[in-house]
Amino acid sequence: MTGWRPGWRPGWREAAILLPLVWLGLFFLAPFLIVLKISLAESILAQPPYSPLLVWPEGGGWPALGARLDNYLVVLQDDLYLRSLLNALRIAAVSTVVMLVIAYPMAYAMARAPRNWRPALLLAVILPFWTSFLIRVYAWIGILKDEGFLNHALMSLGLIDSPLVILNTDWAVHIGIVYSYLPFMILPLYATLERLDLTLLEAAADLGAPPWKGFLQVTLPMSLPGIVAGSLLVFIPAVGEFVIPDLLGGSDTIMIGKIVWIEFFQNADWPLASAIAVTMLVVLVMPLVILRRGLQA
Amino acid sequence: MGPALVRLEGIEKSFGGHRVVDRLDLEIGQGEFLSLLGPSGCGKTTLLRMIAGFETPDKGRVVIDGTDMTGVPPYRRPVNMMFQSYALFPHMTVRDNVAFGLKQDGVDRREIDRRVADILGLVKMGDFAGRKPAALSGGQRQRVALARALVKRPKLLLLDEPLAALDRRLREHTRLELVNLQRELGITFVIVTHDQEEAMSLSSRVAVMNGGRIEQLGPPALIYERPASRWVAQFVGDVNLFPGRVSAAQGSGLTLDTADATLQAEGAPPTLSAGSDAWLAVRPEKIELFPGADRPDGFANVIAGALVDVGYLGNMSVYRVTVASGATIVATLANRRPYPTAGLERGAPVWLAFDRDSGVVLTA
Repeated sequence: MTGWRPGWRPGWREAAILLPLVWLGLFFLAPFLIVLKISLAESILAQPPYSPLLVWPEGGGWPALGARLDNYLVVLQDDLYLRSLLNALRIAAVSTVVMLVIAYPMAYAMARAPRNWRPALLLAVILPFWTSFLIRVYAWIGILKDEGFLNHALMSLGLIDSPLVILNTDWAVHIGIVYSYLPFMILPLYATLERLDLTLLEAAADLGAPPWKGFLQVTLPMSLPGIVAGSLLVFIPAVGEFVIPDLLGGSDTIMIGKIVWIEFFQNADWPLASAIAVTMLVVLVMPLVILRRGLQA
Repeated sequence: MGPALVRLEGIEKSFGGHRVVDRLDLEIGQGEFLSLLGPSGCGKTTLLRMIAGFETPDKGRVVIDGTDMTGVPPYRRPVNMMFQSYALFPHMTVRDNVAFGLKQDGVDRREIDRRVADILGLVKMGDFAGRKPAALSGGQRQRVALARALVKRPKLLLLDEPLAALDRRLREHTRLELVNLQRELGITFVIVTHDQEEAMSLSSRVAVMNGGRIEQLGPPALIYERPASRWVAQFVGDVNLFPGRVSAAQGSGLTLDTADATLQAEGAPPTLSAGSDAWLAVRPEKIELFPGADRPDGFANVIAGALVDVGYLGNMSVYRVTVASGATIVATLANRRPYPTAGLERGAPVWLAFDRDSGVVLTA
């Protein structure tokens, strides 16, 4: 008879660990392997539009490997892909910083609001999710276009004489990304700030730190996990964002997500699109792996 | 008491319409070790927080070292506090925690290192300077919190239930260290506690608080031996109360008629005259217990009763005795001889006896 622990029966612990692994395998690893396989193929006019990985010789025998790295060479050689990737990283990075600046005070105010207000405030943050993402991004066209709400309001206030050109520029893409992903930044920040023991700030004040110093030396470093979590949560999907640059950006706004879409659906070059996707994943995951290594060391 | 370091004048504080501190005056002397003792909700912590600057009184003044500090924020007061939860910064090492206060004042880097090392040595935590608070035991955290509050050499150190989170053995040990530290450094200590034993053993003076006011202020022995009211007598230690009417008062001596006996007492308030109501308060350890039928001689006060219950505590025993009026009187006796004592069995007839100066006459 081994010890009894609440909530666990023999085998359940293993099952509980297995569940996310199965999920990841089914919906991440398997699709990734398929994309990896396609990225090593050649684009052909067929259904599906790529060459098979294994070529079976006629009359039997061992199959020949049909893998080629041509697509990766294209990705590395044609600077369109590198530029669009760097552009996407830049837009995502700037948007992440802007979101941090907007979200931190909001999350801070929510965490310091009276306890019985907090559920309502939290709901207000999540509420936009109940409308379709596409419709919300589309609505920004109406706000940002030359004769849109924003220009109309600014002109009737007499702040500007001629409409500002925002739509179809990088500005609009930034605005769209910041607007769409802001809740994902607010929630982890709120979670860490809400847990912060206010006695620590009293201790800082007692030891001679005015409120702003207490914030810099106690609140900010202690909310670092929330800052990291929120930033990753918005930065990674923003890099691959396709809908927002497509709807709000101009023809010169080239982000990697849009390029993948064009390669897939306009050029029907599945292998090249897959190679771009794999490259993007490596570029995004490598720094995280290195960061983890650094933290563990 | 030395010259006043802190003067609280007519302090009032309410939270949500509830008066927590009520027209309170208090002077705390230089180098004193003062305890604010009271049950939870008596206003002692609020009072401490008003001295630290975390709360502002609704009325009255807080004067520290001759300067009116009533509206001054905590970071500009020459006062440091040790929090009940210790409130150590979890993201900083022990060294950085202790250095925090000095850094805020822009103290020179080398001076900081020296003073941090000194104070950590004083609380015997020098070997743990590089650790984070999560890697320390409760007792070690308590020492770090103390070091952090002392490193700035404040004029006044406030301690909010500093020993409450420690286990009993460690608490007794730490109590001694705290007293020694206070003597060594000469810093004025004000401690908040609900533990009367702690207040007794630590402080030079005790302020017993109840309902936002100070019921009694004085050295521990005075609080215990000469409580000012029934409430203080009952809150600080255990007590037997004999209600009665004064039948004769001459000088400081007094005769009290009670339902059980006519009792003699010393040290009565001079305002008491024959005919007034009063209580005689007698501590359980000041009552002698005699078995058998023979009335003991040589005591001013002797009451007959029956033993109903004996509680054996090892070093002493607690005897509960019913007397004629129906009241239960408690007497504690050291177990000088091996327990049980002959004749002191349940149901046995006993005599309770105590001297004239063993009781205190109370009018409130």
